Amino acid sequence: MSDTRNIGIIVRHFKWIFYLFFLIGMMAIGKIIQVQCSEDKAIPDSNYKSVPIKAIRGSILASDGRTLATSMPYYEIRMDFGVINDSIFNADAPALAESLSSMFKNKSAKAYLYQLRKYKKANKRYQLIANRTIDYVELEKLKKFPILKLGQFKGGLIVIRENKRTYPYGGLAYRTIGYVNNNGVGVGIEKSYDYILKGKDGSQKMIRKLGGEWIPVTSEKVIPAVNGFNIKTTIDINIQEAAETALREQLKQSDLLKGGTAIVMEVKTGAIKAISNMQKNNGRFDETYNYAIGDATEPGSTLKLATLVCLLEDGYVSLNDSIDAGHGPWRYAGRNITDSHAAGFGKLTVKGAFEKSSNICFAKLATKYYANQEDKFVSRFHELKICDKLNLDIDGEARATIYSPESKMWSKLSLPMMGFGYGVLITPMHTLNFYNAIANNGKMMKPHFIEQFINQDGTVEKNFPPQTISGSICSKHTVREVKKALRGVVAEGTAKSINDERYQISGKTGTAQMALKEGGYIDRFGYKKHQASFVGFFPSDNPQYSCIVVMYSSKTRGNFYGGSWAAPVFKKISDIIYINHPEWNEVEDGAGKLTKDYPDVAGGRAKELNIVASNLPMKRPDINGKAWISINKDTIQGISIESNRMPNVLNMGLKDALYILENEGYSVSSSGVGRIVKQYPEPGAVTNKNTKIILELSDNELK
Amino acid sequence: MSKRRYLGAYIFGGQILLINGGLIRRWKVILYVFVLILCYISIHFLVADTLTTRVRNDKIITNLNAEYTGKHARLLFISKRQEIDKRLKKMGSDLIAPDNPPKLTKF
Repeated sequence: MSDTRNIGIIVRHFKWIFYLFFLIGMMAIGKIIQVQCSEDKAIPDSNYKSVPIKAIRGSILASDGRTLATSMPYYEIRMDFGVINDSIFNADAPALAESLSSMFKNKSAKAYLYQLRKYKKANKRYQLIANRTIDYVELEKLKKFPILKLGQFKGGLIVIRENKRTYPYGGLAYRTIGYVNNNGVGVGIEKSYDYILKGKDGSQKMIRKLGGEWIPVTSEKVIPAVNGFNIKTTIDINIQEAAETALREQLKQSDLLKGGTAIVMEVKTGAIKAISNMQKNNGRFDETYNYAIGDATEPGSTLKLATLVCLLEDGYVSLNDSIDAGHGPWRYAGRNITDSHAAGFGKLTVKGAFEKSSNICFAKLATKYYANQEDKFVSRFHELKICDKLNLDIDGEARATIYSPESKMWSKLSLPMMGFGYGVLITPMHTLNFYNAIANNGKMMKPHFIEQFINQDGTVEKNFPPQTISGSICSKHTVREVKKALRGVVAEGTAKSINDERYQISGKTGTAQMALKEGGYIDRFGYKKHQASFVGFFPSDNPQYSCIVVMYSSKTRGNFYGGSWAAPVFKKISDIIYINHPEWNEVEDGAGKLTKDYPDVAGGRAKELNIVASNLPMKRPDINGKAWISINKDTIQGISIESNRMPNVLNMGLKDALYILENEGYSVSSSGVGRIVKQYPEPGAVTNKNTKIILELSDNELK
Repeated sequence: MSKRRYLGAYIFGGQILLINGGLIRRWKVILYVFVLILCYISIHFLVADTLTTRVRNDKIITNLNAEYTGKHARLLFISKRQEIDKRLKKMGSDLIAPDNPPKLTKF
């Protein structure tokens, strides 16, 4: 009972303190309940933030999977001069200036030093230092520079990261790959498939830990980012590079050329293997305008093929029929129609007229057989699907046009001019697609750039198989006949200069005068614009690729012939393709010619060497149970890799040797090219991780 | 002191735990509660540490990916035929492009 009385006394004396503590305790409990149960708004914002999870933008890949465009982080470099200690700055600024100058190469070290001192004096807190953004590899180097290596709070280094699109092959196929800016404005695949590439950003709530580090709030729902798909295109990098190089080199040959395009298509599928567009800007040729699909012009003589197909389909002519090209201009409907050979070609066969590209012959043929049935001629053109919209994978396809006899644009001259390739507006892509159909025995394929949508993990999301536009645009007989004529152009006609013994090319030259803005084809001073082209396919007997080259001139009094300007570009492209296709030549019989029992291969990974060896007509080396092997003449040895013992890397390629040695923790230096012929220390020698390995490589066989 | 005030002081003042050896009699329960609290706090810190490690690892992976992409892009660029030609020329190499493809031989 006395205990109870004592407690009563205590309570009386300390009741206010007790109430105060009780109140504080209740408030604390209340706060805990509030924090646990309440919504975010009750929580101070500075400790929580919602962070976007950026979706990875898909890459654009070539047909072999190599990257044409991808996103990677770049870093903007700024400095806070306010945090740098004066004595450190004074001591290390010259060294920093030297390093910055050697990295960015835009200013001398002296200029950098002057600038750094100026910024320091002005106490700049957020000063841009570099003239460009840098990638991660450069950033790692930069972080080791004097002053900057002290970090943000002592060295003043401020790094701002941003993701940018990068094009590993530089400007290769730039117009086709395209771009898209933050406002959604762009061109090419980047623009047309932006919705596929960009994915969808997610978000995540983060909380700041004691110490300032941010970690995800586990109780909050994470909205994951949905990454964009990679897009695999049909572009072949080797062919694309060949097309661009050949086109650029040729365009540089004349100041009067203002641009050009080259397209390579796979005959059987319609896949575009290369597409290059060059336009002159400030004296340089860049991919700034898509002539290939965006410019519908009168193609000129390359369209004589369509006239020839019409005539053969309707049974009006055969290739051996005779036609008189005359010995000078042919006057029709008040206008002179001329040939490139001013004195005229005289009497020719239809095939000869095609090979020599006689305008007069084709105008005469068109007027002779279609003068009273112009609709039939125009319908035939439509049947050939020359002007059908191609619905290409990328935006910007120009509208192809054939005027009908009912049109206001039709005149008495329209028919003969259509006969030799005028009065019809089509893009180079349309022309190529028509020739591709002929190469493909009349089957017209849809030109396409996209092969697959691929997930970031490499699985295929969607395939785009080749599509057929028309199973047969003309009869097999006509195809056979026009193929003969097309081969004749290269063998004996206007493209004789590109005839090649190694593989046969078929095609047609085109030299068109372009319509001027002010009307007509020649201005009052006698200047005209030319479009020189060559379109064809190869190898002639079993066409695999079709290609068109078109070059555009500025106003000139001279001439730009397709045979002399466009055909050589075609040839350079086809040559590169040819040397990559050994299967086009006959297989050599090598029976009984083997001189070695075992293949003469470098040492390396046994599993991979086995794959190579299994494809060679020799004994397969016994490599059972061996991970790495060394081959010296016919001696095959397994390489034992033990710690503290120098492995035998003799006769290996450098890549394999580095893999083995660096994985064992050695530091390696090498000299020369070829296989490893000397190694120091010797194989089997006792080593430690500090041992410096020296490798000597040579093209000569290991003695 | 009224009975009501006395009960209030008895319960809220904590005497309920102190008198008659209340704390000692309930030590197992109290220890259990403390262990639970300690476990809760430990797990919380472990989770926080794991998340911190994950955030750091994510950053490392991002940086490694950036490094890989950058190096890969540079290698792709120098693998261009034109670039190889340039380098060969610079090295004084007399290597020239082939005119013919390699021959396929049947044994």
